[in-house]
Amino acid sequence: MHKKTTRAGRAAVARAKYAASKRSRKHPVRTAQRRVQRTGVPAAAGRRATIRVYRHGLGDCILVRLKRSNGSDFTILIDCGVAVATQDAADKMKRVLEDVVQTTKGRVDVLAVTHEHWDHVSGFSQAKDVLARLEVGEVWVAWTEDETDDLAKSLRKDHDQAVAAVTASAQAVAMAGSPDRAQGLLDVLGLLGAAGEKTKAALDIAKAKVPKGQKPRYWRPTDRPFQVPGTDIRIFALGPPHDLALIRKTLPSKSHPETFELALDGRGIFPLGVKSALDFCDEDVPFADRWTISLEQARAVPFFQTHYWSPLGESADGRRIDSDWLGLADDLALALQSATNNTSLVLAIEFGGGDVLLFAGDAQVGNWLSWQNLKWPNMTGPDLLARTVFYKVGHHGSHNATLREKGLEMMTKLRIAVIPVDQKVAIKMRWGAMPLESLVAALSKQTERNNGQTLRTDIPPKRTINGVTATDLYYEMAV
Amino acid sequence: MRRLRIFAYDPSLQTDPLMFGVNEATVAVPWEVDLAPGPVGEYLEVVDVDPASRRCYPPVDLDHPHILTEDGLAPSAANPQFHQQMVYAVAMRTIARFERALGRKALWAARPVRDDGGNVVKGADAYVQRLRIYPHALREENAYYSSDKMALLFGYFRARGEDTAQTLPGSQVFCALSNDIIAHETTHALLDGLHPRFQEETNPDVLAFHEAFADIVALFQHFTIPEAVLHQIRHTRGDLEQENLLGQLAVQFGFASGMHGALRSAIGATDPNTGQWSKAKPTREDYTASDEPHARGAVLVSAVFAAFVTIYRARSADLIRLATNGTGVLPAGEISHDLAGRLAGEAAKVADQVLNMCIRALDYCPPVDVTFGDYLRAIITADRDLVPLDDRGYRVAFISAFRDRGIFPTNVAHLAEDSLVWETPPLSSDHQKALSQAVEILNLQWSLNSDRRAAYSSSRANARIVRDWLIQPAQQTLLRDMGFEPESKNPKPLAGMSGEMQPIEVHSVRPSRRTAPDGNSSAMLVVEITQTFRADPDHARYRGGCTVLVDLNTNEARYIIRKWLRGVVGANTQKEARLVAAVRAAERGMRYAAPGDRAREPFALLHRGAPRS
Repeated sequence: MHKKTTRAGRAAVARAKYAASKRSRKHPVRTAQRRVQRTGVPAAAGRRATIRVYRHGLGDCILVRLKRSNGSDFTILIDCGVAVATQDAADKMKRVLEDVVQTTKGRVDVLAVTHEHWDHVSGFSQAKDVLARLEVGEVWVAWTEDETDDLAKSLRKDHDQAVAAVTASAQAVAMAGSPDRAQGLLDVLGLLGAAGEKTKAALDIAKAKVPKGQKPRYWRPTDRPFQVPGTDIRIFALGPPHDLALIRKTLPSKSHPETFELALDGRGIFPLGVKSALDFCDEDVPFADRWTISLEQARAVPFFQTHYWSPLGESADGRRIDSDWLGLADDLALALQSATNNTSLVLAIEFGGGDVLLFAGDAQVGNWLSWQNLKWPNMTGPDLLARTVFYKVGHHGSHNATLREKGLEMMTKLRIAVIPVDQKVAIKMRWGAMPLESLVAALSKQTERNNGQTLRTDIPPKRTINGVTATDLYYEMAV
Repeated sequence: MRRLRIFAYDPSLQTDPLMFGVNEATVAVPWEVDLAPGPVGEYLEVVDVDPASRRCYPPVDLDHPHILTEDGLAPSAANPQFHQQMVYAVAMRTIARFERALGRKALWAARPVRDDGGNVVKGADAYVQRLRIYPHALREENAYYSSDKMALLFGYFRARGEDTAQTLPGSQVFCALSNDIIAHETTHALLDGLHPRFQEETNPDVLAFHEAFADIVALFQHFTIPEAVLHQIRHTRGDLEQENLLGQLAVQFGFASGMHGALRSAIGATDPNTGQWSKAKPTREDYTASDEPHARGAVLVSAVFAAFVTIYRARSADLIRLATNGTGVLPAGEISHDLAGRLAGEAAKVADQVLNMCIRALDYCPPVDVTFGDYLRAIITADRDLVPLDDRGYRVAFISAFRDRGIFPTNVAHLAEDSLVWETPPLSSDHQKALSQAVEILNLQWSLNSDRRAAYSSSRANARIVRDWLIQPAQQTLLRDMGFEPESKNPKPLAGMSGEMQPIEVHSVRPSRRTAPDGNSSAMLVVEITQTFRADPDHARYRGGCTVLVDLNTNEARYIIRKWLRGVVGANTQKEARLVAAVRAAERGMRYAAPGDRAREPFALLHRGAPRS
């Protein structure tokens, strides 16, 4: 299987090269110029790149413009989405994409989509019309989207089963009379939009932006870096790791049960009995028929009427247990959400042997750990971390999406960190401590040591440092 | 009394030859005159609805002549009506145990009243007469107390092949048939009825205390079944070195429940290679080693258990000497029947006394933010009030057991009895006099004989009277001495935080009557007062509180047990604990429920996260 993967990886590289050469045919002169220049010195006005992080809410949309030697930009759009619980989400996304179209004059060289979560892709469907006006040179996704990859296929299968289990739970919860809790379950997944539209559909819209006859590029961490035409800039994919165990590893410590690392089809988290009940299968009914009456019959039995369905004397609300047996559905939904986060495409943009911009998607523990062993010609994973000056904080600043020892502490040159987050919406979505206070503090300490700054998109900065522009719509960093 | 048959451990031991004849026991529970099918009685209603199976199981009628004359249904995992009988019997025994120790009727926590929009109506609580028990509510290896539903939910699941040698792989295992689990969950409910704020994680000990206390009650309840104790004493005769014997006993009890792995390892463990069991050696670092609720709770359980062993050893040494002509060395072979019987009697008696001490201490705890150190002080004080002379060394046994595990109360000069008892209140004689007059206007008829609803209402009415009296300007200095301050929108910053100081709340006014071994009877009034500080900007709650114990013979305040918000261990430490708890919740992918927030079934999560056997 490993061999096959490598071959597929090479194929992807070949495809990318083909794509690059096709483009270079359009601008032959420019390409030739850039190849020679390898100084690492910014081309113009002291600025090698600008990074625009949109402030539309709990979700990612980032526009990166890399200066080419001829003064034009190589543009990359990373993700475009906002969490379900956001108000006026469609309008917000339209505004964001409108700005992207305007700024890029209607063309981005690369559209990168990190992973299949609504808060990273919603915009592609919510602002479909605006997206139609955006020309895309290449589409980049992680190998997990590659339908020819066996591991990707099996992940997809697990994932679909888990989604089915959570969806069935949500239905059962709704039937038991708690529609709000049911909706909460689905929201945790991040797989459905506000109107029930599928996240996958939104991702497919993005993938369909590849120029005719081409395929998206399926990045593997083993791939050779992408050489940005007309510059000395290389782009590395650090993750997701092509390794099942690491993808399943989403939590930082071993001090708690390994539940979350188990199979995602619900077996690991859902006891068999819950599974069979969701399948309306009677094999786990614990007693012989002669001891039982059905729920429907019981409604007519005075004892159950009095003590369960309409208790006399005590208020009827909230003492029934119709859906408590599905309590673990929340855990499954969370585990599934984390596992999908861990399939995030992680991009590192490196300026000719110097500084690095790191875009971590929503990568979680296993993804981060895998970077430690990555090697390319003249570059290693830890090397990239050590050179990082800009970091798009993973998973909106959650507890398990920025490693301390094997992450932040290695980023000794980190100057600017941006957390795309909206704490109020995160609370509404029950996404826990987002951002985690202690992480924000650690990031601030790290960045301030290098005279930089840590920014949250939901709180206007008290001041901005040189090179950072703040508007209501975005933060823009010049590097 | 009503006699009912139950599983002494759980049904998995039914086929264990070693346990033959002792896994079933007949226990006596208080007779309830109007016990309806369910069973539905004064305290409990067993409602057997199983939504996952889309089935209900008809309620058992324990008053049916066929059942009544047979000491209840015969133990059987296959008959849901036996499950109903067993949860009822064990829960009732636990309730009766509490009432006996505390000298009054047990009340469940009141439920908040909600309006149509589901929002809590402030200040309006509904009396809950019966705790509901759902024996087959879940399909997982879990059981929990839900304070939101005022119910115990038990699960059932298919046994995994590797679980135990005794269970048939794939067979259904029922939490509702485990004596330990039922007693444990019922204790959670009883403790919540006494101390609703012990659900709030204001320091790492609070949740651990809830767990540990429930384990302590479940563990010592086993010693009230004489057949079980006698059997175990004879069975483990091979090494009748007392601590091993009892340690193994406890582990055996814990093992049957299958849920309290931390409890078992705190007492001792079997070496997987040699099969030899050895006692865990306590160290001074035990207490601080972990702030995970189960691990920390296990330290408290092992401390109480160690105290028990010490007392038992002292009390049974003479029996061993008598049986061995003074050598103390038992001859080979089976120990004599009489000796086993007397040892079992001693073990049962000491277990009963230790459990009494543990339960009584609840009235001597602060209303919020309890720590293990506070609990030790509560145990010592409560016991000294009842048994002034510690001639059998019970209190010393507790102090040393806690000390060996590094549990030290703060603000105590010496680890000795006279330093550990709560201080007498720093009240002037004027204050004492005013307080006595206030107590005289209260209606204090709540005892073991009174009607529970009346007890609830009079406690509420008394709480209002006390509150109205306390917030009078004349009482301002008294209030300050209790560690409170007037309501204020703009108080002096607390632990560096600005915010709002809310008015005091009087939670509970309850009498506590008991008779000492020497025949003296005492009566105390327990008044619990709290105050909440809402910090800016997110209105996070910080709790201060005070338990006032008034001697009803003299109407004078005997103790004032304070949790002062501005104290050394007040809001500052609560702030730290909050941060730690939030990070831990986040690490587990859960939402942190700050004090006062409505959490999603805190005990369900706590139990799910528990290490399993």
